[in-house]
Amino acid sequence: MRGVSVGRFRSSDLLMLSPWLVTLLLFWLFPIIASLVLSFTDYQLLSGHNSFIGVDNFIALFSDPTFVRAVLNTLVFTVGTLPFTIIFAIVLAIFVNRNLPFKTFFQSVYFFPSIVSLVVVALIYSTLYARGGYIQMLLSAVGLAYPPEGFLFSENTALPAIMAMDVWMSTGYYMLLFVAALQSIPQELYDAASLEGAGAWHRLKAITLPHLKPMLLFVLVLNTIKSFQIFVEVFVMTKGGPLNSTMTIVYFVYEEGLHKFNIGYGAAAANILFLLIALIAWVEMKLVQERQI
Amino acid sequence: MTRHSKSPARPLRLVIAASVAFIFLAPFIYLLLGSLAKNFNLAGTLDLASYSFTLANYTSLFSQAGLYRPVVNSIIVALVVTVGNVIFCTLCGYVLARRRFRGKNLVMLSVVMVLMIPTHVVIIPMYLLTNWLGIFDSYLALILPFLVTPLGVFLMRQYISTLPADMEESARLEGASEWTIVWKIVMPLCKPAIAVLSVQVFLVNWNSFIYPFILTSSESMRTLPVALALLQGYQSINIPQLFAASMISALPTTILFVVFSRRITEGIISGALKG
Amino acid sequence: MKRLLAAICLLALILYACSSTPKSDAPIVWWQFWTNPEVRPVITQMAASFESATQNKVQLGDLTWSDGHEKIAIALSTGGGPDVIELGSDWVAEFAASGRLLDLTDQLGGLRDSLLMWEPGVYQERVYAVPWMLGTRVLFCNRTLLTQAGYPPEFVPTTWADLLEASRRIDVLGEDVFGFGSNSAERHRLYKKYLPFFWSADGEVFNANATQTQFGTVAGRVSLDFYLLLSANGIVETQSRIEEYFSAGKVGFVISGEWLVGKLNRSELPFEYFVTVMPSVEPGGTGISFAGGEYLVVNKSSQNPDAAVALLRHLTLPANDQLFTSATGSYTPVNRFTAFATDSALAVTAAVFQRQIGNSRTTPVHPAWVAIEEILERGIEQALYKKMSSQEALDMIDRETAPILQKYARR
Repeated sequence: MRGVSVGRFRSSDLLMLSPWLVTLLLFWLFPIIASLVLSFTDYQLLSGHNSFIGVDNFIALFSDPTFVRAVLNTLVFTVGTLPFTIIFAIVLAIFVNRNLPFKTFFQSVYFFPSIVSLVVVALIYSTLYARGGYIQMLLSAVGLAYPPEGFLFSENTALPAIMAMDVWMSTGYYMLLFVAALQSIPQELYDAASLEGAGAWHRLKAITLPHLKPMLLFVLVLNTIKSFQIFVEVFVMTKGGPLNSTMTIVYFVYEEGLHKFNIGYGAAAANILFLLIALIAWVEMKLVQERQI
Repeated sequence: MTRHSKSPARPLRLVIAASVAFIFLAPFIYLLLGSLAKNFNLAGTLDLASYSFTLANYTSLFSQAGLYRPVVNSIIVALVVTVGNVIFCTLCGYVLARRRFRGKNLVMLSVVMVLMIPTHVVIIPMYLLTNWLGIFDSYLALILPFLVTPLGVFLMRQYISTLPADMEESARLEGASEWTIVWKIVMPLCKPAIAVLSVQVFLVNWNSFIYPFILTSSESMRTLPVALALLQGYQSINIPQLFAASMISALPTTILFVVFSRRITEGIISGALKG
Repeated sequence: MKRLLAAICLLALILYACSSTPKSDAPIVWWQFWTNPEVRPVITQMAASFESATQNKVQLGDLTWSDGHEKIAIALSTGGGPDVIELGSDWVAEFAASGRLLDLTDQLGGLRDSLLMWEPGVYQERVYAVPWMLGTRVLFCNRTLLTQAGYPPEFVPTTWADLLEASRRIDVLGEDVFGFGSNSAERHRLYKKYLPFFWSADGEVFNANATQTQFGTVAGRVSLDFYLLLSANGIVETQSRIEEYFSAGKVGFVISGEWLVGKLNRSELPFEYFVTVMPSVEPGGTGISFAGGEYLVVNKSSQNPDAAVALLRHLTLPANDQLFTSATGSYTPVNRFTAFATDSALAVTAAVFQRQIGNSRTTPVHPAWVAIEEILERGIEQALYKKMSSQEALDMIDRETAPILQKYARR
């Protein structure tokens, strides 16, 4: 009978829950339903024109080269950052977790970029990536090629530049999550494996990685949801350019819906994003669950 | 002993750790030095040979670019939202952890489901909603939607479930109301969770960009990140000033981080393990 | 349950209190963009002098350029909103077409002779907006670099050929020296850099009944090719970065407005510079520049339209125009009869701006300009990044704008 009072229903229960219930209805459910309804209309905020047009918005979106580009860029961004972020995070976590001196200090330093405002980070990198900036100096020092006009002004490097920044920024956060998972692995497993003469590589494969799996799934889904919503970086650094090479779905939604006020069209794009995220998160769950590492 | 022999020698590992730390810190060192620099190279690099300190970049920001109001706005919004989350998430967490009634599981499910909703997907309806409610471009638009966060409810519920319920039971037998129980018994016991929650919520709201950006329009309602992002388009703002403004935005989070570093990292680690 | 009800009532009350602002004495609500400390006092002063002259109360509201457009759109779409609004020149057509603005043709006809730059305020031959503040862009030239490139001290580029040749000669002076400061594909800015050349080459954006853009013409191609050549002999960057490079003496030419004069004069420059009017295609021709303007409109649903119109008249009086111009640092008063005074050091510069404003044009008037602008900039971008030839890019612009324009023409 521990911990639970089997009382009758009290009005205080409802009252205590009401802040969440109101928030849920007003700021979560209502917008989602409104978004769904709006995406089947051609609502224009300015003229007030509003009529039901069925799936026209969706058809128009898929023949809109800017939107198609936005979807592709968002996919490239997610697929291109995810493996790096996760691999770096796992490697760092294992490194930090193995009796590293000043462990807490280093752990905090690696994590630091994730708590600074994204706007600040994007502003710093805009300058770092500029013509003649530090990153160009670094690359020319080691003899690598770079676009002389600056990374954010070249069609081929703008998106990769933002992706690299994102990996740099979020690695520390996921490292922390993996450290948490590593700490939950019982030390006896390693001791037993050592007694049996298993090498470091074998212990990694047989013990560490399998135990990281639940966290890996969590990180995968979390990072996918986050990556698909990339907006601030684009707004601060490139505004979608050059040649739409950094146009992302959320930026497209913002431009169409809140800049040009094609509310219905923007909402339809947002719903496609929603579906994409749900689909990919589902695929990730299936993949990780089924593959018995 | 065997384990140590397999890993690289201690000094080598320290060198590696320090180099990695440098990669993560270098841009911020650049930011700090740049914000205090008297002269900048055109390309945005620092002339370290002739480097000299000045606070002019900071002072000119407040006189020229009017950064005072955004700072105040950010503080107000972040503080109110944090306090709101502490109170409301504790209340909701308590009910979900302790009480039993029909539909409770449904509420719990709603919390978990909403946790997974990508927030940027609903920027358009949120924008319309604040207009219809008549709170567009006001503090209410920046505060009301964020007063209770699903993550906060979830964290508090998880934490309260681990607490023993004996004290609550005896208080109830003595005729204390549910409100008194939460306020006098549960809240004090939740201090560690509340600390984690407050730091988390404060950081998120202090740094939040997209909602303050789309839900306000006047200069006087901007929060710091919004003001910062829009400053860069100004003709009269140069890089050192932009860096100084960025420092002002990054400073409170840095201080919070230095003071509560363990709380934050432990909060994330324990939160992750429970979730 | 009582407490629950009370809580719900409280919430409803809060929401209600926020949504309805009590109306007392019905002042004229005027939304405007000037919040910086140099100009704001003048706004208040002009509002106060109007109050004392007419017994009306004026209530000021502040807007910002980054999102003022959105805020105005929302306010007007609800059928309420302020009485008088300051609009950017490129927004007037859009709001006029949506039927939210008061037709001022009959009431303000008399002002037509005294104020400059009416074009953006007129939609379908009716006047919806009154020009209030103008600014144009001129050519800034680095004298020191010109001298280094071997030009005599009195040289002033007056034709496209002059400008291109000088840019070429400056660009080869050194690794970190650039000829022309060219705007990159920066949204909402790029078209303002291209159109002056297009206009100078006698290009017209729309055909007679605005069913078609005319970029795929000789004028379109000649001007785009010239812009590409200039870019190739210079630095391609964002406008604010280009201006920083110019301020550091690293760029020969840059096209910019009054704000750059202010910025250059505030700092100690390691070089000499001068301004001149936009170069023309051929010797003896006219170079056209891009003018930005800010316009005043009256909300159609204003409860007090007469007082609102009176406020427009008041604000554009020569005395107020002079106050306003000197506060904003503009060199180009909107009223012909405004006496312009400046210290002699700036007189030459100011004269160039005043000469240029007579040969300036604004964003073409069309309710769907935002969409057309996007297509135009995307096209120029294609040519700038050498994805298409300039002719292909310009033809694409004409092709993609056609459906939008025809939709509006049929209405």
